[in-house]
Amino acid sequence: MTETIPNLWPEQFHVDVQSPYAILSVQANLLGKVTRGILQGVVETESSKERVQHRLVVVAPAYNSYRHTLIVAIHQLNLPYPVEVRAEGLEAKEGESQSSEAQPDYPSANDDLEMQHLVSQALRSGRTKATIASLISKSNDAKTPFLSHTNGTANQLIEKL
Amino acid sequence: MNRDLRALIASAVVERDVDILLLAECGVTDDEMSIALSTATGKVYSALSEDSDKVRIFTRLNVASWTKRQSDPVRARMAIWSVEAGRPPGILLAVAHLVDRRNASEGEQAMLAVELGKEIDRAEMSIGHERTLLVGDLNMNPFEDGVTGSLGLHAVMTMRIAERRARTVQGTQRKFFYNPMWGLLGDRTVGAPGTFYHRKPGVIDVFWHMVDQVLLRPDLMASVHDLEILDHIDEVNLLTAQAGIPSRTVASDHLPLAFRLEL
Repeated sequence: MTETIPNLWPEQFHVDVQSPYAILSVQANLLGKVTRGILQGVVETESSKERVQHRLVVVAPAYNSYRHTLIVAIHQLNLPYPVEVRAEGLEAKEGESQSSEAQPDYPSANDDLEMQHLVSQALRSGRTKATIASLISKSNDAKTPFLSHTNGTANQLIEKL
Repeated sequence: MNRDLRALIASAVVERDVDILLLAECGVTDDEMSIALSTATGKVYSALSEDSDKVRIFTRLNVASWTKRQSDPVRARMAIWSVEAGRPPGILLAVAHLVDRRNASEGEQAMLAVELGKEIDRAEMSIGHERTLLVGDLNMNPFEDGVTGSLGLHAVMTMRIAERRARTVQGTQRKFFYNPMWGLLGDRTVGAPGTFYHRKPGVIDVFWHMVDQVLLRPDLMASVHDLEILDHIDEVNLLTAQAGIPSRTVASDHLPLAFRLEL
């Protein structure tokens, strides 16, 4: 009997599966490196009775420790996959007429490779680049305050010097 | 509300001499609202919010005295600002419009409350003071887990409890908020019994909900005065004539809150 039933499993399973938290943590740690220490990345986790969410947050220490959430990953408490990945640019284009209360639809990943693909898409998006550039710029201004003033004020400061 | 209520809102701002106006589901653009407020009051009101922010902020205070501390464009359910208002070091103002029960489970609502509580904690640690207030449509009542829970907003009903500042829960210090909205629940107080009326079929129904709230840290709780749920603006009744519940045709299904901070 068993000989007549084929192997219905996929050819092989990927066995070194990384969790959504691990994927976001690696990206968070890399942010300091790619921004030469100007920005930091952290992963914050909250959980309820049913679900867990991890947030990849960019922190700009020099700019009032400003915090900007880039990605939110949500999954069941005991099942890291599928994981819903929420980020600017990942929301579904359809259903834009939803009420302001309705949540837009975001894609889900069934394993770490799909998750990495979505995170990569989010981190390489124009919006993310703009956010990172803005926070670096604000941090640089904060380090050299007179440059952030209007020309008039900067001139006055220079004159005093 | 998502309706054009410029005239009515401008009347309220004139009537109460409002410095800071917070609107959720504003039906007009920030520019349109700013112009309406400035025209009605003769003072310049600036709009501070980013495009994605759910709660729109308008103020006649100096814009330079406002610093945003965080942003979350994915959901934009909350924003935290430090404001150089009153005596130094000023205040920390958190605004929120959390997701409602139709679009989220009770668990997800509580999770958002935990996130909001943590973000406020971090902002306080970063800025170095706790003169903090949280204002918004939390879409939860003062007695629900996300608002009362020590992992969430940890908002308690009396100043006496809140003045202890924090309590230790499972080895961790959890700061209190004082929630004065408890004092406005029901019909034995001045004003409407809640800010939102909703009937649902089922065994349990509280009918009136106090989802719009003001929470204050102990350092700021004695500063709040004249907190009220508005059921009139000028001569306009915001409630239906028969049932006495918020009238969507006149204004909104939520009633506005007004309060004064003595800083």
